[in-house]
Amino acid sequence: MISEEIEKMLLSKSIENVFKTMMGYEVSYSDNDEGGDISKHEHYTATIGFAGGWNGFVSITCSTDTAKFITSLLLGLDSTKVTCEDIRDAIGEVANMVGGRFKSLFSELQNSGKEVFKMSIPSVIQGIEYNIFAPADSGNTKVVVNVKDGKLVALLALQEDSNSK
Amino acid sequence: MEKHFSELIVNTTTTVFKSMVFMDVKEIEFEGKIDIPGKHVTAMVGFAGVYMGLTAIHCSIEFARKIGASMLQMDSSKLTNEDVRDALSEISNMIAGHFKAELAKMLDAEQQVFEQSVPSVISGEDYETHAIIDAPHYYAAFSTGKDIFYVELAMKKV
Repeated sequence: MISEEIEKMLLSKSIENVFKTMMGYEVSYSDNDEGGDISKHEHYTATIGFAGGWNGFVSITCSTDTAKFITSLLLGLDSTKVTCEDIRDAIGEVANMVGGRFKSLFSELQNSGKEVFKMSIPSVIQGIEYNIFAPADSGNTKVVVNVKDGKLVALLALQEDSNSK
Repeated sequence: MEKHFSELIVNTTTTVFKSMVFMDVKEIEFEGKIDIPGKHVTAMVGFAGVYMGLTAIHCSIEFARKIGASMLQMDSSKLTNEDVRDALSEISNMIAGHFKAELAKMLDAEQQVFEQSVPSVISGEDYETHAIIDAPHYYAAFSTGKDIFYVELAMKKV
């Protein structure tokens, strides 16, 4: 069991690191930011599952405009020219990288010498008026960062596998 | 092999529904896309190991409520939205778990073929999901007589 505070810190560091090293972009934070109501307009969510000694998933959600901006940064394309497929590939890859960075930081923290979890494949959700939920007993740690004029909301669900305890 | 994966996901789904939801479901022809009008819900379970991928179940919110009522032996009008999400999560978990066991038998594998993540549930009116994988993707459609639902498998060997 790790505290929500530590989960938040690891998740924030993972996002900051991926944006800085892979896209050359520094994300920023606003105090007490809940992320607003992205779900009222078209938006994207990318999730990646964790399976092993610890189980869970990480998801990132942002508006279409923010997703286009991220895609243009990652793929080096003009944001007006990116296709839906480019966006899906890019934010799926960002979720994959955030999950991978989180795994690495979490492994260092656990310092057990065992692999903490393996990662599944990314899945991308695209639409309006939808929400994503994690099981109540797996925590629901949320981190919100500012990306250009929009927000990116990351959700972490994590629980230790009952057979590994 | 691909035909076997398809068959496995169909057999797994019918078995889980019969034994856990007490419903007989029948495979029907998948017409190329997931088509659920109105509010719907998706429960996804990722997996990783010798194989990596995900399984997902997609259905209407009304059908998810019927699943919850049957599994929890409760009047569907008394279920909260959280009860419904939990029930569908549990079904997606069982489909992935049963599929894992059947896949291991089929491959005569001595070790686990994969481990499962916790389920994520998506609920809303107007959305679509895409598994990002460079490998075949399998969909199966099922009917209970009144309701239609879909099960998806995206998987590749590592």
